[in-house]
Amino acid sequence: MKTSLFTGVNNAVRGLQHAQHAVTVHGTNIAHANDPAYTRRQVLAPTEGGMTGPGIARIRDLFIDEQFRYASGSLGNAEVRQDVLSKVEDIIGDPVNGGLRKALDQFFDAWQALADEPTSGVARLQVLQAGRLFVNEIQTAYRAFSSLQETVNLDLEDRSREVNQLLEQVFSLNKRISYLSRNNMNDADLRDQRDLALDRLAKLVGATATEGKDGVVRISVGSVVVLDGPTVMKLKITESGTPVWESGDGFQQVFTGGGAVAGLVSVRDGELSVMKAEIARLAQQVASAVNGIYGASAKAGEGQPVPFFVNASNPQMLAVNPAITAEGLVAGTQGPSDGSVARQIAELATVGIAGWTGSTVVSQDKMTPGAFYQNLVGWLGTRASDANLAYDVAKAHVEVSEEHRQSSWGVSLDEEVASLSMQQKAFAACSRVIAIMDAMLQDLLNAIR
Amino acid sequence: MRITNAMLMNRAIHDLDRLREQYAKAQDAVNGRVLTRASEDPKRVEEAMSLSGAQTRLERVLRAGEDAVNWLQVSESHLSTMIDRLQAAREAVVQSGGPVGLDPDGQKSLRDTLQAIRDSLMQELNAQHQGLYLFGGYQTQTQPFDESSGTLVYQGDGNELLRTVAPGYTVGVTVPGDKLGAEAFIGALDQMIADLDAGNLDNLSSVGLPALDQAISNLTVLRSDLGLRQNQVTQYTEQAQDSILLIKERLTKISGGDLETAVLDMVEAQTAYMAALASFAKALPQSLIDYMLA
Repeated sequence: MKTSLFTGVNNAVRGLQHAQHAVTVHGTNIAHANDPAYTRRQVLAPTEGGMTGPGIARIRDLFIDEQFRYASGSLGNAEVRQDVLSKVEDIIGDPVNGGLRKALDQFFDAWQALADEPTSGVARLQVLQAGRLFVNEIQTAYRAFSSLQETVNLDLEDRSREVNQLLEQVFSLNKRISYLSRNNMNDADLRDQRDLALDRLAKLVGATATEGKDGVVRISVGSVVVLDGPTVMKLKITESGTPVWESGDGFQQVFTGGGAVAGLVSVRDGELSVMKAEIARLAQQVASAVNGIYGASAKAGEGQPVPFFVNASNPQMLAVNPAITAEGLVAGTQGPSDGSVARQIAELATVGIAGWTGSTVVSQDKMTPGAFYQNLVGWLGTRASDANLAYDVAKAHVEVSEEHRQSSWGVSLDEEVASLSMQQKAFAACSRVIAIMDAMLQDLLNAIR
Repeated sequence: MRITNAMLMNRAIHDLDRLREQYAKAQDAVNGRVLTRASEDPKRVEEAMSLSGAQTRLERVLRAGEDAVNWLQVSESHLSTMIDRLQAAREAVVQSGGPVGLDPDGQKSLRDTLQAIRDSLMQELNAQHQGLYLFGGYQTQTQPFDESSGTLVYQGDGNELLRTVAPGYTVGVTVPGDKLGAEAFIGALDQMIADLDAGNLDNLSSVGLPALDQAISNLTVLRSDLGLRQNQVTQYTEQAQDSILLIKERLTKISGGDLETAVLDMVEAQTAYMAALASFAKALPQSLIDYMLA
């Protein structure tokens, strides 16, 4: 085959162009070396003949993405559960030396002290004081649980807004990517953005994505397809706090996904509402047991005000009867040194109270309030430590998949620098080829003269 | 595996995070802040809660026990005084060599002695401890033995003051006045004085002395019962003290109170953290860029 000198020059120019382009691509790679959403790009070698210009390949692996997003959904779920449960633990405080536990011990201890010394004014004051402290601790915990539920609800609203924004974003990116890829233009940046949105959606609601041939993705969450072509569903939190998917025409489907949204719902309707109900149960059991003993005897006694606790069934309104004074407090009915009523009440702490049936955390019907609270804290502790473990596992899983991703399409500075230097050499070599060709042409022209 | 710069950085950050967390935990242990959250170790937290509840109850019974011993001792000492007084009355009658043989002066002196003993016995019967009447049952704020109507009336009730000396176990720390037989021995003394006044001197030995003997033996039984209770309470108190010690020991153990181990762990964690910091600081900033294209 004969080739003209100009063909050689042309090839060398192609080489120069390729090297230049490659340097730009490596430069972009280096510029995004620290961007976790960035997908490494590679310059495709110009194929023999007829190519318009060097192409760019985006190194991405759908399988690894799927793994990562699955782990990410678990992490989103575990993360919020761990966060909320640790706040619940904060409300409980030091389980051994603090808060409600101490108040409960002190309350019955004060009755015991009164039983032993019914004539002591200090012992009487202490009973009332300990009663108020107990009520205060119950109410503080109850209020804190209620406000934590509120916080979770607000958080749910925020996250559903974010989900809807992300879905809109993917919807519009879908359109632009499909346009660019149809016209054979570089859509790498848009794809990076879309992958980032899909990662975030996976963490929020456990969304999974499948890509069609036209470059458009379809998103499902649980059993619901939430983005498909022109259809975009909206995540809505109903009045009752349940998340639902709503389509443009108002048709609703139950949310069956995972991720942070499912985690928030599960911890709100699970652990949080159990804690609230059980604290209310504890308050009511103690109050009605004390009232049962105190009320019966005080009525028989000297016409002192009864009951000891008012509003026993409503933890928010529960209070030590304000009409009871230290002098009027009934320790016993048979004389100033009779402590039998106080003793009976104090014995509730060792003998126990019946009527715990219906509780989520204990199965016996009769137990002491202290033991009940202990079980409650133990139950919470188990839940919280499970959540911690789930979080650790999910985090490790995400870290491993993230490593996989980085390993496949993260930027390695060493690689880029080596390639840069290679391209530099190639550029120099091509320039040299052109110089040689130029000299050859010059020689040829000289020969003509 | 292909390793990128970001991977190195991520790993470094995760590893440092983990080491920092270990260090913080070790530091908490050194500062004694363990089992502050139920999730740390639910089983142990439950045990610690149960132990500390038991500790509160035992500390209460310990205080009650000490108080109970005090009350029992006071009750016992007043009973002893009563017995001594009755004994003195008995001896006065016996030592006089039989009232029959006494001259009027001797009779008067014996009468005075018996009257004084009666007065002091009345004082004992209305004895107080910590501002409360000892022998009035629950009616500790009313004088239990009243003579204002001319006859001796017991105004108390038949209850003993109680102290909880072990969880769920109470012991009586006083003797209710109606068990003392006060009406009998005060009546006997009155009768003896009346007999002396009336000259029925024979009755003193034949009726008075047996009545006094009866009262003494009755009080002695009551006193020894108080002594037995005191022993019992002391035993319970000692048991409670032992239990508190055991509980404290166990609490220290389950809350990881071993300071040497904690300090060692902390030093270890610190060393690991420092080493990691140093190695990352050296390795991370380097890349091929530092050697090529410069």
